[in-house]
Amino acid sequence: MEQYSILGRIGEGAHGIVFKAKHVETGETVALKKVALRKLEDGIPNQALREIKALQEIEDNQCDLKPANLLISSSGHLKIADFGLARLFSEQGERLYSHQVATRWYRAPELLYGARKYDEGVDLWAVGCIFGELLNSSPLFPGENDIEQLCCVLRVLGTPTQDTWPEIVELPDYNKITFKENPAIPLEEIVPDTPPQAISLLYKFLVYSSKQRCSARRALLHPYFFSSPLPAHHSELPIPHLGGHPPRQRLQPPSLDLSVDLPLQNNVVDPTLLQGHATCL
Amino acid sequence: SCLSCTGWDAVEDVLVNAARGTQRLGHSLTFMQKHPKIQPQMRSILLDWLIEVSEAYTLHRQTFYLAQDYFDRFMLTQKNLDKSVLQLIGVTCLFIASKMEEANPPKLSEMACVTAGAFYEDEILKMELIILQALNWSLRSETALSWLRLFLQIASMNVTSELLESQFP
Repeated sequence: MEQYSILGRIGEGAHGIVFKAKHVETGETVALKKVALRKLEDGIPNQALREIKALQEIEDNQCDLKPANLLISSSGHLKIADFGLARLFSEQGERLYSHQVATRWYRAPELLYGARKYDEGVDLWAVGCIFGELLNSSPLFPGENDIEQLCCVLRVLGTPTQDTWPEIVELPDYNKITFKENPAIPLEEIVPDTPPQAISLLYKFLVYSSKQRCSARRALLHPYFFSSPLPAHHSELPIPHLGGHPPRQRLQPPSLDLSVDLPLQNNVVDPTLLQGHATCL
Repeated sequence: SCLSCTGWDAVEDVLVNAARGTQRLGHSLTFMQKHPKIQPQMRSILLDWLIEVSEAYTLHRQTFYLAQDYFDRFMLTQKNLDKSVLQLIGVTCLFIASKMEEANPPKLSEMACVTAGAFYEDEILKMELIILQALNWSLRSETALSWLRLFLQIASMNVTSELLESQFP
């Protein structure tokens, strides 16, 4: 613990408190989870051991972003899960084919071209696909197989060139397959009836070159998040009800278009309102 | 490692990742040299005993193999241990592995119980922390069983039809 200096409290969950802290030596900002060891009668709790394992897996780039892995809790919190619990499923015999297919739709083009080395860009591509799917209520690139998957992407983004995608020449499957040249289709046509800010953000993610995709941190500063409808507080989110009651209607957002030039604090929800909610920041 | 948890990885990548993961954990056959007071047979006896304990508590096979991996890696981090602590290390490794793998891991008291009074609960708890720190909390090991599972998965799938290369040679 001496290696960290606590900067503040991020949130509190059923199993512990999460602090924002700084690693003194490297200056890196980290989240520290303090687990309440109420009864230590069985040593280090399995929950803690498994969380550490999950974090190591995330670090190794093993998580798989797609709508099926996104959960919204009853309190409106978004959780990233990984249902690639292959052990459980494969022991039942058959592989779940639909599961495999669904993953392909969010696969970044460099992976489709056989990239062996990849980075967080593959997740940002998946974020773009998921964002587009949320806007459109249907998947953007629903390829039936790997070839068709590439066709779907190329049809929308246009045939890649060395200008639009300099790294393509280094990919293993480049040259193994050529597609008929076609120009890009404007995303406004792919995702119709969508506010221009949303289209603009979508363009930032759906970029051939992995390095040029907008980072998650930068994306949060995009005007999309500061224009109407503004990000909702957890308590405002419509939550499906189990008992067949119609979901509570979301309040009509005030027609605000806050300027991005203002300091961020002016635009975000008062942190005190978030206390007890913001467990996954 | 398994194929469907990295849905879009090619078989080769999964294999390479699994191998790299194994390599990173730094196994080595040299651990006996670090412990002159321990003979190879003692490890065998300990592992046999751990299998018996695993059977008694109907643990998964993977739990036992994880425990074995934790034990081997822990021994590499230590020097000149005495055989008197082997059983404590072994049962604690099984205790940790159970927590990783079992839906209902045995209680600490049950783990102490199988040592037939040789070790107390608080000794297991102390050893648990020592082992976790020595292993740097890296508890995701590939085991003989997880390799086997991966090989069986690869053997039973028809990948060629899904790859670009085979369609466009």
